[in-house]
Amino acid sequence: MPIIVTLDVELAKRKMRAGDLAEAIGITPQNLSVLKAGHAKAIRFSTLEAICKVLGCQPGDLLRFDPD
Amino acid sequence: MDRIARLSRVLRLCFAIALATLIVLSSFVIAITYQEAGRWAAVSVAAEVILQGALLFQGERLLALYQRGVLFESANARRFRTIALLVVAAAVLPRVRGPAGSLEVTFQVDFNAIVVGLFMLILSWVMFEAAKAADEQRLTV
Repeated sequence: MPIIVTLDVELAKRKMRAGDLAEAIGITPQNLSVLKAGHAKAIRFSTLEAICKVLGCQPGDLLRFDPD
Repeated sequence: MDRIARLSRVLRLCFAIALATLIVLSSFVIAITYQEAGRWAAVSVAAEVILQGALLFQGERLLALYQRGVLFESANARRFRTIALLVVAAAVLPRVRGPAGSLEVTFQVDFNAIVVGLFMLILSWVMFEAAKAADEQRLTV
């Protein structure tokens, strides 16, 4: 998929664990892992909003388009 | 969900018993048909039995999926499609009857079964779409 999720980079910048983020935004660690691994087919605006709120970033910091 | 699992368990048992009975009885019926009506009549009966057995087997496997809580997966849709095709095949299967030496082949088409089979085929396609939707839902975070 040409959309790349860079959530792991943002987490690393903040030295935050995926489990902590999952708990903070109210989704299961399994679902967050699906998103982090790039297997997700869609992301809800509410999830995106919650992640941006907790990490203090923009949606563009989490997603990148790579045509190759 | 519990209701589906419970009823599926009971129906699975019924299907398994019916399949075992069919296998045991059909061997006698095929042997008797072979003696009394010849080889081709026995082959015809065997073909009918194989179709009925396959139907029961596929039904039992589908119910096993329901019992495990697998409802909207492509595996269910595939089983459903196979059942639909078996129903249609059973409806158009030619029958060979009559004593040896004077064979009588009949093409008795069961239109009701064909309609039911084709309806099930459409339902299986709907189930394939449902499986796709369920997959997307599962991978929506």
